[in-house]
Amino acid sequence: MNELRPYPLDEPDRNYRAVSGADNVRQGYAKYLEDESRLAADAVEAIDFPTNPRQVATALLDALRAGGRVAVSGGRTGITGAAVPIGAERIISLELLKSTPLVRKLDDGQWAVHVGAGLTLQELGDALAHGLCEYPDGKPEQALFYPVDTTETTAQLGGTIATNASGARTLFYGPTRRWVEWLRIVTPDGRLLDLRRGQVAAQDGALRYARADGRVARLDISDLPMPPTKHTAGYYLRPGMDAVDLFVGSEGTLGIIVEAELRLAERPAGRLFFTQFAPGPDAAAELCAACKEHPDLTPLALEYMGPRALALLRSKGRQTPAYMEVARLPAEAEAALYTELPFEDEPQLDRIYQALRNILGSLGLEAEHSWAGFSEKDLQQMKRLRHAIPEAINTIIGQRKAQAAELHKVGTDMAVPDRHLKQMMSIYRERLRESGLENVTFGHIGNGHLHVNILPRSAEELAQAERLYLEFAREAVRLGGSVAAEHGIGRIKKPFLAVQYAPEHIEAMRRIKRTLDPAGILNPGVLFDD
Amino acid sequence: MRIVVCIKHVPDTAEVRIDQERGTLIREGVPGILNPLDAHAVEAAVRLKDELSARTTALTMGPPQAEEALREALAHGCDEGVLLTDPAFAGADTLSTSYTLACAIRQMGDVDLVLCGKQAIDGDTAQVGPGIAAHLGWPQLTYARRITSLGGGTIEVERMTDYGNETIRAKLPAVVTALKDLNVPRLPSLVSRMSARRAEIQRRGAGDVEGERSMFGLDGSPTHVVRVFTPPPRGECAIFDGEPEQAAADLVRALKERRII
Repeated sequence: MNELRPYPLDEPDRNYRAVSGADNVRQGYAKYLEDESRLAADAVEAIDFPTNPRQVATALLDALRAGGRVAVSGGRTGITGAAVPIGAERIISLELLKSTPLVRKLDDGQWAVHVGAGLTLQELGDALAHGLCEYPDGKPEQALFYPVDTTETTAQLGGTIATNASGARTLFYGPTRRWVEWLRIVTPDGRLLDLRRGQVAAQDGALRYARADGRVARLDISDLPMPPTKHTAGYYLRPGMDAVDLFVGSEGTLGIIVEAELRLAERPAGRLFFTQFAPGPDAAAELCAACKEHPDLTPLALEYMGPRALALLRSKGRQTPAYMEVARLPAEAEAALYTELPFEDEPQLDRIYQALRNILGSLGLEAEHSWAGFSEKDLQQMKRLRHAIPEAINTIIGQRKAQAAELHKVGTDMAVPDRHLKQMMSIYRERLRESGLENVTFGHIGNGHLHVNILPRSAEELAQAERLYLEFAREAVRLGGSVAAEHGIGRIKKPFLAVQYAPEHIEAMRRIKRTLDPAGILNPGVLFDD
Repeated sequence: MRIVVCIKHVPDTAEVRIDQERGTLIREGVPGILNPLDAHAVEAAVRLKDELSARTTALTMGPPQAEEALREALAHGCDEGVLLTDPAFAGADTLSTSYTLACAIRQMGDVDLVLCGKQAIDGDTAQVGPGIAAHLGWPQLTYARRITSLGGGTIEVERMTDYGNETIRAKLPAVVTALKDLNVPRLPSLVSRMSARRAEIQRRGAGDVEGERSMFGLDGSPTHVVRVFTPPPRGECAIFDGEPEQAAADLVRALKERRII
């Protein structure tokens, strides 16, 4: 079947809280006007707080009738401004869509969890770990978890699906898309659409959409040249694609995801958390490549910290929650590689240990200059150290903003295929050196996905940094990579969609948007200009 | 030279949640860790070992899972781990715990120095270190922030007091309790972590420890926890807000009214 068949609401449900009046919103609900990006909206006329999917559909229908446009609000942890309600008159906040997660067995014997869009990743993680879900098929014997591990655990699940969120463990587990089994969506015309993976897929280059007036519209699914890397720029369009994938990563522009069923993964019996300190970036990159290639190693994550990241930690990290870990950094380290290696039993751990010793030996790296652990505590400490880098950057930028309000950090999000990683790293290094701009590099090296953060000191440097970003984006695309590997396009990265795709590809996406949302009611200004 | 580090396996308070209805801690499912202050005692021992080629033994009393804390100490560089574990040791208060540890230390025979963390984060008594010294009849050097010298049969320590730092010297054998200022514990390397995981932990039961059995565990513990509760707030609280000058003036007046100033 290739037809999307939304069904209308039986009756409206207005039994939810709403705040109205731009002044009321500004005074009491200002946080809804901004997200973790530097963008903020001046005001909206109203915020709705529905508690179930019918109420979401009612709120949307009411907005449609009143001619107002709607911004969808989740945890607002995104950094590209997709949740900032610029150009919208209303906000629909999904934070109260929080039923108790329900764990059930799928037909293929695997387990999944049914959740409301407003549940946070942290809440889901806690519920799964402490057995606080509902279990109609009985409690599973194995320890299950949801493997998407974004840095911000206050992210709400609806938002993580709408942005196809990823994290450090995406290296092994893939991004959110891979775990989405079923979605309940409120369509832009206020109907409800239930989609189970495997039931609706594109045929002959098209999906079909049953409109409210009874006619069926054609959604052309052109074959986008999507890079083989992590990628979240624009819609996912591919011949034969599953309809679920159209909505995952569409940044709230094609429908409001209100409920979902997410597959769960089995926790490995044990994990070795391992950080190796290295004399420079090349050694860390070589170690990363060796870990990926070795048959006895299956890294769940491979994360990099560059020389300037470590220097930043040494100079500013003592004011972060990672002060203890920073104090213990070996003085000679110029770069570091973190990995997480699962094992089922002690003989397997022995093989992993031997493999690591061999790799370190062959690369001339000192096994003594490492940090290893097996416990959750060790994992938390290593995470704390990595997370201290963006925190330290934000502190510096915060101080500079006090002098010049327009300043902000410029953080890149490009990924390239593995074989081009070293080349991309050397492009970053050379161009940054020439520019004289202050910069820090860290991130998901295993996915060819490093975040270069530029810290401008003046308006001129900010403009220079943004030009450099565009240049890096072009280089990444030239090397077969993505301009937006995980942060998405939102509002602030729209120029890069045109770097990634030809005009006809972007037009193919816009046609889908126009067919599903002819009134342009949902998340105006996100992905495309109005 | 032989150094014994006494450590404790404690619940990770960062992971403890509070039962809102009862006001008590939910210990179930909370992972155990090496008591954070003990990590500084371990580090001090390992540094002395590197300097003086000493033999370092990590010692703890507790249920079988307390072995994890010993492995943590081994990963940080201790040479061996000894676990005193027996149902007869259960329910020990600080008197009984320090007695049992002291018996085990005396039995080792050639111990020159005992290091402990100042206190454990679960009980917060700071009594076990001094208790060990008392049972052994050895000098105690508590609240150590620096070990300034060790050798020639003496140890010199800079200790922190409420009134400043003081330097004291004692004859060995002696007991030292560590503050977090003593050092920064090292990061356990891959090699040390793996050898700690594979190490044999020496287990001793009540029958292996030479001492008065009646002093072990609950029988030897005069202290009984009757109730755990959150103390009620003391006295009233006034907040002076508004413009700083006015708030300061109001505060001064209130202090004068109460004849505090």
